[in-house]
Amino acid sequence: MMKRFVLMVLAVTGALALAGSAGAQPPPGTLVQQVALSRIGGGTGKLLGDGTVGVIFFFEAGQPHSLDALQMMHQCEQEFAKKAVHWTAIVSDSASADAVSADIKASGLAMQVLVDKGDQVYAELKVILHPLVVITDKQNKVAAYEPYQRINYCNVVRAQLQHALGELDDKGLEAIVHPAASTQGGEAAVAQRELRMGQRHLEAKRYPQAAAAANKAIAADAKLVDAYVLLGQASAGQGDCKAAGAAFDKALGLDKSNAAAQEGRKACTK
Amino acid sequence: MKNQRIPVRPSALALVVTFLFASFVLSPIVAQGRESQAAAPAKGGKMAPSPGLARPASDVINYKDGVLGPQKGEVASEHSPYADGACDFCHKGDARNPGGLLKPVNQLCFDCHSEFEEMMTKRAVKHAPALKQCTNCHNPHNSRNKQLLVSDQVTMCTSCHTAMKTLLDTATVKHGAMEGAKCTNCHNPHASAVEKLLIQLPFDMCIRCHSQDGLKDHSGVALTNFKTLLENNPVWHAPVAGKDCSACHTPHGGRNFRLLVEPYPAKFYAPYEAENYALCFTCHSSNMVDVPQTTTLTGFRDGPKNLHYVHVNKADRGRTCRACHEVHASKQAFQIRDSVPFGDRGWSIKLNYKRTATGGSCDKTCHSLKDYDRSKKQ
Repeated sequence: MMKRFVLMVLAVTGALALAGSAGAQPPPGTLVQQVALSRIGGGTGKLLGDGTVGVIFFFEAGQPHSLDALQMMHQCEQEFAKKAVHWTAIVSDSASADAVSADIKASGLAMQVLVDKGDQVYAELKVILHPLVVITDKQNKVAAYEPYQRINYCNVVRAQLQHALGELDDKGLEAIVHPAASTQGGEAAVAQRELRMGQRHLEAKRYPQAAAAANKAIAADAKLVDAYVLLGQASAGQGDCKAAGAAFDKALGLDKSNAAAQEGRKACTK
Repeated sequence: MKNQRIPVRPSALALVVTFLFASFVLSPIVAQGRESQAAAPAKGGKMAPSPGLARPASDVINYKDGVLGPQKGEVASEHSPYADGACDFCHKGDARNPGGLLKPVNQLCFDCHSEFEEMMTKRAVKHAPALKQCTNCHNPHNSRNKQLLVSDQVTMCTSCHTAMKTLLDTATVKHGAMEGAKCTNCHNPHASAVEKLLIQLPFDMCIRCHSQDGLKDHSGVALTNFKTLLENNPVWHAPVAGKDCSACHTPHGGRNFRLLVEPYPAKFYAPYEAENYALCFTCHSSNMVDVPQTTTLTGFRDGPKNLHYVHVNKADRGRTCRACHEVHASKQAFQIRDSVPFGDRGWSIKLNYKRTATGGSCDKTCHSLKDYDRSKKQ
């Protein structure tokens, strides 16, 4: 059953990789053209920085996911305030300036907001989803696209930015983008827990309880050396040198240099 | 690598694809339409202001310092130190007359349950009640519930997550996963690397069930086997590629068919009204369908003539997105269908779509050969 599930997950993961070849958005590494655009609130601003990592944030006023992302991007820009990052939000020129301004004000967004005249930047990057974050590297090439995700969006954008800045390696990025299952700990954790509890019973000279805990620990992890040591000590405490010797032998079978097992074995053979 | 997911983002013609993120089902176009407005999906994890948890009055025995005492009568779980009479693990004094606690509650728990200390330290998303005091949810002695929970799991969780309780009680469209299920099927109540304390990303959670044949929704409609679908159809809708089923579906129950977070037309034809496509417009701009002429908003245009507008924006029989696009994944670019679903008897008409460098064509389908060319001057 487990094997089938693992195979299925691998198959789907493979399909995810396949899916990556199917679209038409300019791929990572594509050079983004530098342009100067009108800024909401007056003046003009550059789409990209000069030799810095950049964030281009496409959003649409009043759109639920965009409103959510605006809050997240405000948080992000604050976190990276001391880093060399060029921040730009961009809206279509068909958007209502008043509606855009109201959303910016409500979110507290501090970055410049540019108006994409004739939707030329939208067309260049083939942007059809809102919100979308495009991370560019120091050469103004696309490093990553991050369309909105309801879950973990902020973490992923932050990680992509850290990756572009060289603060996070590929492995670290992968761990955030595709996090491992957050389980409760599994059998290994159960074994450790029983071991610790058994050791406390042993300290209190509750030998039967210590032995019971040791056996539970062994049942959860048959290679846990310290659990056999505990079982040996608990058995010795109850005067059962035969059982103690057998437990210490098992511990030494797994780790012949284990000092506690050697000592216990010696004490038992006296 | 994350970056390799990128090209799957829909482009040009796929502007409308989000419209189609409306069904877990490949088969029949189900004429359910918008359902009652009784339940609204819970947003933002709203919780009751009080930290009080559901504790049956009969359970509150020897309730001291926020920690439940031993329960009388039949119990379903027992804490090992309590069962062993090892009161000194946690209490001052002796077993016959246990006194106060040796340390703050969580420190005591972590002496043995150190994996929880580790996960609540290292994982980014933490459950506040667990962080504050394990005994918010667990009785350290014994309980009539499994895992020493102070009450049954759903009752306990919804005693704080009241908006979720309302949703579960009033949802007109139910999710089978919620029936008789526990919150911990999908959430880790202590800490997680994923927001909302999800054990995994939404897609990874969903596919654990939605990867089998024969699965049906609460009304008996067969559901898609996503393992098969995604293996055989390499062009994925962006939220699918982003493993974010929850961008379009609400997993706890809701008011829209297929557990969609916002309304979306369920049939082939529908009068065009932006609010009917609220789901799609959470990501796509309505301009794509509202504007008759464009040179930037879509690649599905003949010169500047917006063909999405032509197909969809009609007061009576507008073609909904599902007419031409697959919801989740397809073989062709832009999630274009192989065939068009028509009527309620499972009929389909081939689309015979051909893509060219500057446009494409459809033939022998709802209409005879029609082609389009973006580069054409008006």
